[in-house]
Amino acid sequence: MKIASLETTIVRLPFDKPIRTPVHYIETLENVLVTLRTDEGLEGISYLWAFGLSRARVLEAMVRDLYSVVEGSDPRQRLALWDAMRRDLNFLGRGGVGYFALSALDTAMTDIAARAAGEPMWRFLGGAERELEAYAGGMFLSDQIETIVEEAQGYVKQGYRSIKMRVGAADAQEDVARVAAVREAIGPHTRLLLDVVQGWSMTDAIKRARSLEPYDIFYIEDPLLYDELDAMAALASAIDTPIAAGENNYGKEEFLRLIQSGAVDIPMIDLQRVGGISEWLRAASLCEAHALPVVPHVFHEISVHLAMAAPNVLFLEHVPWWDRLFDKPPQLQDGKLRPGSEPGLGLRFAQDAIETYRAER
Amino acid sequence: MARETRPETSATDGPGGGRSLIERVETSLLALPLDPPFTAAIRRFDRVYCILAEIACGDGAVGVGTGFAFSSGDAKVILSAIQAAKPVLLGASTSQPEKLWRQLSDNATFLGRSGAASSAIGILDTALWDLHAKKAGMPLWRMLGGAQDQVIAYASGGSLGLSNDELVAEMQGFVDAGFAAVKLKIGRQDWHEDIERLAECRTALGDRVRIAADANQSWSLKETVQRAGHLAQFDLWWLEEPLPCDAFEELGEVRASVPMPLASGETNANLSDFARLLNGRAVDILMPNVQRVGGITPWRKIAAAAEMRNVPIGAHVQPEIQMHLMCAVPNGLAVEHVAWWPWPYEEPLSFEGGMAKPPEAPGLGVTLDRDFVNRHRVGHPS
Repeated sequence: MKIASLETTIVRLPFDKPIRTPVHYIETLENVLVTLRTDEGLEGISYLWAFGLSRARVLEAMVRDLYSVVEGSDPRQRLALWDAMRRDLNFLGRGGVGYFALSALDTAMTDIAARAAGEPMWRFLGGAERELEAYAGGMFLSDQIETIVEEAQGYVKQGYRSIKMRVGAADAQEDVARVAAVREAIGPHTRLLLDVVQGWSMTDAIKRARSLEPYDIFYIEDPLLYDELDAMAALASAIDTPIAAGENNYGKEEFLRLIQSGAVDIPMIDLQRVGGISEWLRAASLCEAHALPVVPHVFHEISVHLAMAAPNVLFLEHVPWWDRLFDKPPQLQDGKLRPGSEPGLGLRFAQDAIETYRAER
Repeated sequence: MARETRPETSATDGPGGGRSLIERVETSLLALPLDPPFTAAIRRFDRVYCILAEIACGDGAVGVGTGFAFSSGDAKVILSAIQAAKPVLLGASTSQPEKLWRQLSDNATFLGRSGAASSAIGILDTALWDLHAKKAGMPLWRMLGGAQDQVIAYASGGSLGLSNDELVAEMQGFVDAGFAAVKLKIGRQDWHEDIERLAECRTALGDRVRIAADANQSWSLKETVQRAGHLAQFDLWWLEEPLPCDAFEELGEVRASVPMPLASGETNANLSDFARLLNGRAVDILMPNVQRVGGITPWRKIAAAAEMRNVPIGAHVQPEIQMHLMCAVPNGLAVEHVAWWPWPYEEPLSFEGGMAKPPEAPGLGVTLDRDFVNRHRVGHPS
């Protein structure tokens, strides 16, 4: 079996409501859809996402560049090919754009390998089928308190047992007021997670974190710039609330450093930055060896398979932005997700969505 | 979600008013065949690609930045990352390179601050400093501080693909041309051949010529320590990149136990990587590549951090740019003249008595050789 062709398509999905934050104004979500085909006609898919067409084009160019390393090879040798791609990235640099492309090709090759074996991905990876809780995220800073309270209550009604809200307003007291209002609205039994999106600085991070602790926060995500590990470790040791971070990190080596620095209690692993399914599982194992849980960053339609194979997955992040890309995306039931039984990832790109939202060359 | 900053184009005019704002950013890709090919421990090079960025202002001033890649695919990724950076530059003032660098870096945060995005910023930042110095009417090395009037130039070659005789002839040729310092590649499959080749070079060149050896990340910690024992007899100027670029702790262990100076850094990109190399006392000579680190703006910070620890900073390829950087700072060690590597400039650097002197023309002081550019251009200009 040999990899015979690569197809890439850029698809721009418009948001129903633009996302506004102090640092964002985002109207569309750009995706690079990746399909690998073998000489025997098997297909494997993956996708990358970014905000901005020009960035998606950078990712697409990188996928096409790195493809030359795997073209003509047997995709079932994916771990050896992973290593070959990593070595090829010496020039452009490990991490960054190169790892996005490595991730896309690895995930598509793994999809082919599972389809060739006739097994759904979770079973191919040695996992046991289980239902997994998903958390809802939203509640952006640009929305008024009444709006996010309503949004939070809506999530609880849909069956979510964990919800995530953004904090990091310029005025620390505003964060306290918003968190207090949401906690009061959802009651004591729903887990409340906070996402700072790297927005705090060490001048007041400890004070801000402590001011939010009375509201029973399950964890605080990305409190500081992602590579300020010493500062994050100091914050972690000064507060009682666990810190979650890692969605901006590339490769298992960065996770090793993140863990060893003592900066993080709950590593979050992003499929398109870490290096695809193969490296995602290695990073998760590394966390398991250090007795840490992990949380997948977005990609729930793929993460749901990985979570069956990685016993330390705590729950899944459920952001439905990408559902439109697929014919039959996994559906949430009573706040939980479960993988399908079709071979591979069990995902097919929705042709009508591609035709509607395809970006011009 | 990842942190993201929207490009903010500056409306603040620098000296000269609105006409001095950036109007165009144009790129070209040149394919330059190498005959014969060059072989290092890490790979064989059949051609090099030159990525050319020209940033033009309304007042007619043009800044030139050049970069490189070893495959057309890699070059295209860097070019597309330059496209993604353009909105930050168009309409901006060139009088605040630090501010523009921060905006370029924030714009690239989603794609990662290392890798191709960093190379793209590196090429653009170099063009911006060229513009900044041209507008000030000063050569870049003086603009950046002008700590030295000249530095050592060394001739870099020694492809692993050369026979021992060819290698010795090439090195002898460098010395005959006036160089008093040379660098060659090591990392042959059989490391005993590295020892033989160095022995022949040392015998032919005599004791006074400085010889550096570059293993291009091909050895392990123990291999390096063992082989360094054998290399000690050749009085190496430095041993370069014996280990993978991100083996920070291992590099520190090697440095503590080998007799010759250790150089590394050309493959690292993040400022935090250089902090780790310096804090971990992992190098005797730091060698950042100006393109990979994201340009002259971060290069200066790396050089200053090295100076604070009494660590000299070495050049990595791109001599016409490195010439300015080496002379700008007090700890600039030497310029690397890569004999096999062509660049599209009209003025070749002059080397007299093994020393290189920076030009006095404003900016980088280079003029693009348009015939050369047109002859080697691949694809359409954008």
